[in-house]
Amino acid sequence: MTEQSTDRELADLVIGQGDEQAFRTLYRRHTPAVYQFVLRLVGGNAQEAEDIIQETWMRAARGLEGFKWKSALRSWLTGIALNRVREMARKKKRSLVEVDGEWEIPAVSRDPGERLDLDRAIQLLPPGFRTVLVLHDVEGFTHQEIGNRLGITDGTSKSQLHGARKAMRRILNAGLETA
Amino acid sequence: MNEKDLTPEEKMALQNLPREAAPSRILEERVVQALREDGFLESPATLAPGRGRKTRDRSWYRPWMAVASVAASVALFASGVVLGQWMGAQSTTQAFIQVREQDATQLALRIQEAGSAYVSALAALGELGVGGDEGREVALGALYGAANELARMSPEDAEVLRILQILEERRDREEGWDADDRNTVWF
Repeated sequence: MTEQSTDRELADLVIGQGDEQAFRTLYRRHTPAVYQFVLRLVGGNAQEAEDIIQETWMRAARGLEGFKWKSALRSWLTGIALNRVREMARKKKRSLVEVDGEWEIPAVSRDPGERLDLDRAIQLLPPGFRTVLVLHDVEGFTHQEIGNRLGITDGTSKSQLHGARKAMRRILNAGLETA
Repeated sequence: MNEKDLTPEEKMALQNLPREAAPSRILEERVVQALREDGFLESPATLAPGRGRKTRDRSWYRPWMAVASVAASVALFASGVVLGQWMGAQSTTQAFIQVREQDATQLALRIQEAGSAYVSALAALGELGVGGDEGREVALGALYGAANELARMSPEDAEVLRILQILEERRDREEGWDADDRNTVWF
């Protein structure tokens, strides 16, 4: 087993021998990307993102033997992580799709002259907007894929994206005005 | 340009967002430790040649799982009876060869048969007006077991997970569990 071993070779070692080093190699290869994805979805809450990553790997380990390798391991892990984000949101009674009522730009404290960066603006979006924007504009999911993943129609995904982009521009413009 | 569309600058800014971030180093150790405790990874103590894999701990055990286990046992027993009858009609060697040669299609057929039997039994229970809470509990336990297996087969399937979630929430409610207190480990 080397750092250059394929995901499948490493996964076989994990499944067959419980090889910890193979697992650590897989973990270090994929976690940074999946963690960044989750961190954006949960609005920058590092503790929540880490809990989700842990659950994602636990579920992945349990399902690894049945994984058919029809998609990349990274995509599969991302899908599991997204489901975990959905479950977490459901537990907290927080919709990943709907935005309740009139949404107001949250007050943001920043130093004079500091520009609000794009990642911070995404964090400030309500979850209903943030999810679709991250999936579509950052991760490159299609509306159909988003619909399938979140259990919504393509139309809902499109209208949420429209609202999300408007809201993001408002946040960034507000940042410029107050800077 | 349509106001809905991203400007080229916005597109570029989004594409240039960092694609990776480093979680805390402790997280890796937490994950590895949890996987060891669940028996998926060899702990250093069990790496010596000839030592078996650790058995999974049972810290996730919940009372309602007993019902699911009973349901699974009943299903296993019923399958055994059916299999026994089927094998009894054939020579042992032939039967074993046939069992081994069962492909995915045949297994899918068996699942369909078992599923039909489950639904028929439920319908009969309902028509007779017997069974009550006990029958309903066993039926739910079997349903939960099936949802769990499906989720294990395809953990990325959001709809399957939703079904499992609904069943878990129901059990939590009935048993007075607070969903927030439960550390979800379902397969």
